[in-house]
This record gives sequence, structure tokens and C-alpha cells, in this order.
Amino acid sequence: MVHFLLHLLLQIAGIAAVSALFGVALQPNFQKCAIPSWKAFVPFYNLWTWSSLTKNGPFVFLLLLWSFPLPQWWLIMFSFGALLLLTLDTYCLYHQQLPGKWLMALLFTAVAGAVNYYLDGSLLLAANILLFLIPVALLIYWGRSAMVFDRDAYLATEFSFQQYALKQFKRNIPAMVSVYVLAALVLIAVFAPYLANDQPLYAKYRGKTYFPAWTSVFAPTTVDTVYNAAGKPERLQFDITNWKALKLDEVVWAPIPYSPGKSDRYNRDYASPGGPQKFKTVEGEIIEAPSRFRHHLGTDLTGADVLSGLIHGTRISLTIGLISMGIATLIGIVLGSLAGYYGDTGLRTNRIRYWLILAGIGLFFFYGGKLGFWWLGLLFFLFSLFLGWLLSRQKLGWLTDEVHVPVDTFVSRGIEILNSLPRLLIIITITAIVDRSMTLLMVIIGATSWTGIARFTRAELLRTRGLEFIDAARSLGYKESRVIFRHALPNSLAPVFVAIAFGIASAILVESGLSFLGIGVPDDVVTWGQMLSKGRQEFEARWLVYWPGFAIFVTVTAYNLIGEALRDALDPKLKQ
Amino acid sequence: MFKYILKRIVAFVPTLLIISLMAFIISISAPGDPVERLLRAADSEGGTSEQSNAAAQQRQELRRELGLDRPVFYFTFGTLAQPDTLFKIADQTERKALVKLVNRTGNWEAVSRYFVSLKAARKAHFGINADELVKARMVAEAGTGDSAAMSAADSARYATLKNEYQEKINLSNISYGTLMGTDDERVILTKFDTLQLLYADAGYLAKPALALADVKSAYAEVQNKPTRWKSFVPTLQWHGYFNQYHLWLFGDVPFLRENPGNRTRLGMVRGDFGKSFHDGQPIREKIGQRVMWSLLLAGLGIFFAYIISVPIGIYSAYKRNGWFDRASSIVLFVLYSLPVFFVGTWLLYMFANPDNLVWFPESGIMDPARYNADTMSFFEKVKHRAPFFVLPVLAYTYGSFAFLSRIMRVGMIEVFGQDYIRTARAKGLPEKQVVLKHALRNSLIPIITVFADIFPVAIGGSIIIEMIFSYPGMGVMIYEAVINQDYPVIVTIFTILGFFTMIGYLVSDVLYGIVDPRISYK
Repeated sequence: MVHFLLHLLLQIAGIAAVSALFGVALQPNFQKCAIPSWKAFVPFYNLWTWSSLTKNGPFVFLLLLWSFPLPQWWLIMFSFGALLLLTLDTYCLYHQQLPGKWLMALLFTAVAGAVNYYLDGSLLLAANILLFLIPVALLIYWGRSAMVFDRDAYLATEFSFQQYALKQFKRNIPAMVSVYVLAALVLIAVFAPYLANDQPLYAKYRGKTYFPAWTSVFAPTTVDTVYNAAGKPERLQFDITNWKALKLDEVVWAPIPYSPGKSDRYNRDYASPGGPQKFKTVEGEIIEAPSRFRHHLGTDLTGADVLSGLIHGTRISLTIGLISMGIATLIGIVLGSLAGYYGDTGLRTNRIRYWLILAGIGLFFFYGGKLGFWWLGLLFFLFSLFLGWLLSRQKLGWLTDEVHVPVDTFVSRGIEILNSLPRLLIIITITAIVDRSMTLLMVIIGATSWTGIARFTRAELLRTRGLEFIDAARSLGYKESRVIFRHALPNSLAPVFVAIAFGIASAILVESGLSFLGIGVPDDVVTWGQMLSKGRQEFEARWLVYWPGFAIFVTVTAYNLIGEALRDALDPKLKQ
Repeated sequence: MFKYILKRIVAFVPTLLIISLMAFIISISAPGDPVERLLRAADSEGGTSEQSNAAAQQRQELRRELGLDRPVFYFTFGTLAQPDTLFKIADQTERKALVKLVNRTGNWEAVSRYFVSLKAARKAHFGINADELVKARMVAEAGTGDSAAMSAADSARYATLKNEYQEKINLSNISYGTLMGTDDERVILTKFDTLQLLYADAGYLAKPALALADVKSAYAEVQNKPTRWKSFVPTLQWHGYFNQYHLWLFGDVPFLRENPGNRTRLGMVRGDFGKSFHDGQPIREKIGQRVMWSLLLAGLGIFFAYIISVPIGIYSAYKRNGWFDRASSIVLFVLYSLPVFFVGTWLLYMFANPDNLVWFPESGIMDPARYNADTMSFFEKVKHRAPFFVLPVLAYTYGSFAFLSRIMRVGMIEVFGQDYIRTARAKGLPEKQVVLKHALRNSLIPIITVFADIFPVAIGGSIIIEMIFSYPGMGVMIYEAVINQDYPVIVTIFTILGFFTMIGYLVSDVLYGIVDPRISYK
């Protein structure tokens, strides 16, 4: 027990040390902004406070939170990237705009990712400390050197519409409740392996101390050898060892001591939540389960714990909803803004250049896809781009006539085609061809649900492109890409946010529907929809219908309510 | 108006073509050989006559019937090294390996010779019979080839020898099969070495050993005379309309077949969708039985959804922020967020479960014990079937309530703010007339827009509903087709659904014109 507490203390000390470092780094900044300086030392809260001041702050914070369920090196990568972005934002707050801020953050993210993916041992530690110290040092430096900063005036002038929308949103009570519910779900998802796990959080076995639940999150097949009383070696592979059968000296179990999908042979055939449940003690006798080892929401046919499945299913649902909608948003915004901004006649180019670009793309896929020489394909592509640029400067008569690229027609046809087929049918058909995997499922859902976002973005940009400030930006000689993505797009994003919120809800529904049919995610992944489909096979087990259904309902309702509230908050018509 | 409809119909054609092309691409990129699947479906025993001539003949015939002996599309992008007749190689893995080999070496003559030599080597195994060889050997060694007449020791030796011979012959044969399906140089060379070793102490495999020498020399030529540059020149190979897609879309042209005047396929445009890979039935019949039931379910569902949600929307807009408005919006929002598979399962659990209530039958659309198509009158049939439809239609409809009534409500609220409503009231018209005649008509426009989009959503949603209630509609068929990799059925359904949606768009456009006289289609 002492070890366990020590371990916990160590974890807390680690977090505290990091936030103390943050505190030191942020403290001068906080002072300048007249924020109580104790806030700089509270873990996570300090980042939140600071990020609420900076331009990309909320985004950074969400990124940090969301990267928790991802693999370890992703997490570290995103954290570093986010940290640097935060730092650069701090710079921008005091000085003028930093050129290439996003690019720098992206580069740094990639470097951190590569470091954590390829390096090992003490080298990894050293590299990580170095990577961590760079932004912290910058934060301290800029914090000390900066001019005095009036926070209230800054907030009052800079973010008027956002502030207004936020105020509107906060007045919507159901939506705020949904936000808190969602935050709770995120926490459950993040800490799922520690909330429900059939491996103990801490165990002492034959004089050795173990932290199986902690260890196995990052390296599932951790192996250790112990010698029993007879001196015989005994192999402990953490993920397959039945810890409940071992005679442990000391043990701290997770709140729910069962893993999702793992069968419990003594509670097979739908053990009901209130009914009798069996448990096999270390001594080998089978007794009525003590309340610590009861399945509080019952089991399914194989004896898998329902509550544990629910907790781990949260992870799958939230991740799929967010990532697939992220993909859809990316595709939808890019295609929609191009179609809306350029229309059918806006994008003009030389005929020869247009053809050469198309030919270059063809050659890229010919050499890359068919022959496997991607570098050669890239070379050909770049060459044809160059040739097009060169030829477009000559006067070659018909060849260099101006042509329109019908972007709008292409995108609109694409939307029409995708819309005319049921999304579920397309996804089911594609999943039948490819291998079953979570990543692919996310990509497929994302690639088929961008149409709504593209439609909204297109409509908004059609409206925006005629407004004066776009003309002003163009007459200043800005690049087209800057006009679209820095001037036109940010002023047209309001309906897109609404579409994203509803889109996440529907992506979760699609995923659970697929799992219900038994075709979406791999069989060994426990999801809400899959649990519900088991309930359909045996009506006696109503807990298998109600609980997953309730979980899906709550999540979907939360997203829908948030979407609704966003629509009300961002709708300029309601502004009074 | 008529001109406009005609124009729209013409505009559908390219979209439908692209949808069908998309579905077709999905179907041909599916793994596995459809002929094998179809043959397996035809006789479930299978495998007994793998190598026999008749089976090969049958396979060939089937391949021709399905059009699989043709190129896939009107054209293919290839390299100069690739011949334009590669599609004639039936086996997918062999073709892929051959393409890779050709693109690696660029020398088609050498590669084709190598491939032919491999085939010859496989054929060299045909005459070799382990049993006869061993018998001959035993005659030479023990004096008799009849195992019954042998001594116990000889008999045992006979058995082991026979096993050994058979094993070696099989190994040799299979090795050539592996060679035909790979382009990896290391694998090929290793196989050559293994075969050489195998033949070293097996004199009875003289024919295959001879063939191996041929294969080796052919492969040496492949390696030694590469014309690598050829595979770097992209070419477009034109196959003309004698291809799978054309066959699938327009049917086969009678004078192009070996037996002229005999049309086996009419093509998609004439309503022939081909045969199912799963059970060999014509898809037209398969779909024909089911599409009616699906349309009935969708029709009933949409009908009830509109009939209920439009009045709700009108009333809650009329008494805006009243108690009915608030209560209905909460209830409908909850309904909207409930997943359909949960509601379906729950309905079954609640109302078709001997432990709870048995108000409605559990699944299907009729009770075969009581249903008799011949003796029952139309009304009796309806009366018999109605209970089966209650739960599916309920599960089908509930989600659209919230959606539709919300649109209706917003539309109505917007219209109530207009000047002409105030004018109508100022004229002293009765309230009923103001709401139901002046306001309603104009607020119908958004709800009509939805009508076009509702069809794909309806069918998509019905996959799950039909699965839950074992309803014999298209949804279950889609699911089964996907599970069985029955691609002709999937392609057909894609195209039909695309067609229906296009019609939905058209109908909603026409309805626009009827509801709102300001819109003209001239």
C-alpha cells in the first residue's frame, strides 16, 4: 500500500514539477496582465487561464486534452506542438504578428514526434528535456521583456463578436450542461484504463511491486519473471495473467476490476446486475461475489463486464466522432471555400498550363502508383508545373488562351453524387472491401460526410466574396490563398461550427450503427453499438439494451444541444 | 414546365453514369474470383474435381457468360512494356504478378516465354501417377505390384513409397503454381533451388525436371535482356466497346459473339442487371420482390412522418413559446437523438416479447401458418399484415418527427412575420384561413426541399430497421450482399438508389413550382 501511495505521489509530484516550471515561466506574464499569480502554479488551470488570453488558446487546450487517448508519442508530439504554439502566441500578444507561426509550430511538432518515435533511453529523455526547455525559456524571456499589457482593453477590443457569441452560448443552460457532460465523458475516456481494468493499479507479488494497469497502457505485453517458493521461475505477462487468481501480498484494484470484452467464466450467460454473481477466490472456492467484484451493470453471454465496456466504449465513440469529423471538416472547408470563392469562372489560367498540371498529376500517379517510384512521379509533376509556368509566359496563340477551371461544377457534382446515395450504404460497401480497422473507419466516415460542411462553406463564401473587405484585401495585392483563408473564410465559419457539432453526433451514430450490424470496427474492440447488438440476441439481458443505448443517447444529445446552441449564438439574425 | 423536366432528366444521365461507374469500380476492386464464388454457390460440395477438364471447361464458359474474359473498361493506362491483351489471363494473382514482372524488366517477349514455360511445366505433371510408378518399382524390386500379395515389410514399404512419391509430385506441382503468382526475384530463385534439389533424387520426375530447365533458361533471358525503358513510357490502351463495363451497361452486341444473334445479356439500360454471384439468380427478380416492400415501408413512414409533424410544426409556431411548443420541442429533440437501432430493439423488447407485451408479431411481414394468398380477400390480407408493419413504421418515423416539425416551425415563424399575413388579418379573415391558407402554403417550401434528400436517408436508415425486424426489403438485401461480397447486387442497388434520388429531386422541383407560383421554369 505504501508503494502505491508513493507511486501516486510520484505522479502528482511530476505533474506539480512541470506546472511549477510553467508557473515560473508564466508568472511574469500573469503579473503584467494583472492575473493573480497563484493561478500560474495550478496544474492545467494555468494553461487554461493563459490560453484563454491568446488567440489560438482554446484550440491549443482542446488539442492537449484530446491527444490524451492517442498513443504515447502522439501525445508528446501534440503537447510539444501546443506548447510552442502557446509560446508563439504569447510573443504575438506583445509584439507584432510573427510570420510563419503555424509553420514553426508544425515543424516543432514533427521534430518532437520524430524524437519520441525514434529515440530511446537516456537520449530520449535528454532530447525531451531540451525540447521542453526551449518554449519555456522563450516564455520566460518574452514575459520579462514585454511591455505592460492591458488585458481588459485587449479582450474588449479584439474579440467582440466571439465574446458576444460566447455570452449568448453561456446563457443557453441545456448547452452548458451538455458541455459539462461532454467534459465528464472526455475525462472518462482519458482515464478509462485506470477506471476499468482487470489488472490491478498496484500489486505486490512475492516481494516485488508492480503497477500493471499503468504499465500495460503503453506496453501491453510487459513481461516479468518471478521465482516461487520452490525456486521455479514463473512468467508474468501482464495482459494475460489472471491477477485475481494470484495470491497477492498487497493489491489495489481499479474501481471496476474488469476489462472490456474479457470473459468471466463464472458469470457467463447474462449475469444480471441485481441477481446472484459468482466469484472464484484465490483459494479456489467459488463464492457469491463480494460487492467489490460484482458486475454492477451485469454481463453478456461470455461474461464480459458491461460497465467496463461502456467506459472503454466512450473512448471509441468520442475519438471516432472527433477524428472523422476533423477529416470531413478539412475536406469540406477546402473544397467548399474553393467552390464558393472561385465559382465556375473565378479561377483562370492558361490553357497549356491547365493541361500540363493535369498531365503532371496523371504522371505522378503513373510513376508513383503504378511503378512505385514516387520520387520520379514527384519530379515529373514539378517539371510539368515548371513547364506550365514557363510556357504560360509566352504568347502561343490558342495554347495560351485564358480558360476557366470549373471548380464549382466539380465540387457541386461531387456533393450531388455523394448525397444521392445513403451514407450508410457507401460506408458498408467500402468496409466490406478493405480490412477492418479503426483508422480506416474514421477515414471512410470522414471522406463521406464532408458534403454538408462543403455546402455551408460554399454558400457562405458565395455571399462573402462580393463584400467590400474582400475587394479591399485584393486591391492591397494579397495572394489569393491569403484572401481566401485569412479574410474570406474566417468570416464564413459560423454555420460550419454548427455543422461540425451535428456532424460529430451523426458520425457517432453511424459508427454505433455499423457496430450494431457487426461490420464497422474490428471484432475485438468493444463499442456501444456492438454491446447493444448482443442485447438484441437475448431480451432477458435488458441491461445490454438500456445502458449502451443510454450512453449513445447522452453523447448524441450533448452534441446536438451544443450544435443547436451554437446555431442560436452565432446567428446574426438573432443579434439584438 | 415540360421542357424543364426534360432538361433535368437529360442532366441526370451523367450523374447516374458516374454513380454506376463508382459502384462498378468498387465491385471490380473487390478481392476474390467471382467465378470461384459462383461455382462454390452452385455446388456446395465443390473441390472434388479441382483439376478435371470438365471443371475447367465450366469455369471458362462461366467466365465468358459473365463477361470476365473481356477487358474491364474502354481503355486502360499501361506501359509500353505491357501488351494490351493482359486481361485474357483469368487468374487475378497471376495477372498481377505478370504485370509487376513485365514492369520490372520491360521485356514482354521474354516474360511471356517464361510464363508459357511455367504453364508447360505444370502440364508436365499431368501424366505422372504415383500409384503406377510405385507399382512398377515394386514389380522390379519385390516381384509383384499387388499389395495384397506382398509380404508385410514390402507392403509397408509400398505405402511409404507411395506417400513419398505423391508428396513430391504435389510439391513440385504446387511450386510452379507459386512461381506463377509471384514476381519476387528471391522467391523465384529459392523455388528453383528447391525444385532442383527435389528432382535430384527422384528419377520419376524427369519430365518436370526437363521443364524446369526450360523455365530456368526462360527466366535467365528475362533477367539478362531487360528493356527497362519500355516500362517508363506511359501508354493508353484502347479496347473498344468489347469490355465488361459496356457489357454490364448496354448488354452484348449480338454480331460480336461467336454465335451471332444470341444475346445473353441485355444490359443495365434495358433492365437486365446480371446475375447474383451468391446464388446465381437474376438480380432483376431478386430486387423486384423486395423493392416493393421497401417502397411500401418508406412510403408509409414518410406519409406518417409528414402527417404528424406538419400539424405539430404549425401549431407550435402559431402558439410560439407556449406550453405545447416547449413540451413538443423537448420530446421531439429527445426522439431525434435516440439511435434507431436502440429504439427498434426496445420496441421489440417491449411490444413483441412474451415476457412483456405481445401486442405485435416479432418479425417478418406475414404469418405463413395463417396466411393464404389464394383464399384471402384484399382487405383480409391488409388486416393480416397490418400488425407486422406497426413496429417497423414506428421505428422508421419517429426520427423524422423532430427534423420535419422543426423545419415546419421555423418556416411558419418566418412567414408569420411577413406583411401579407398582417394584411390578411387586417382584412378580417378568420384566423383559420390566415394560418391554413395564407401562411401554410408559403412555409411548405423548405419542407419540400427536404423531400428530395429524404429518400437516400430513408433507405440508409432502413438497413438497420429491416435487420432488426427481419423485414424482407432492400435493406436486408444490401446487408446480405455486402456480407457475401455479392457485387453485382451492390452495384445494381447503388444505381437504382441514385435513380430514385434523382427522381426525388425532380419531384421536389416540380412541387416547388406548384406551391410557389413565383418560381417559373421557363
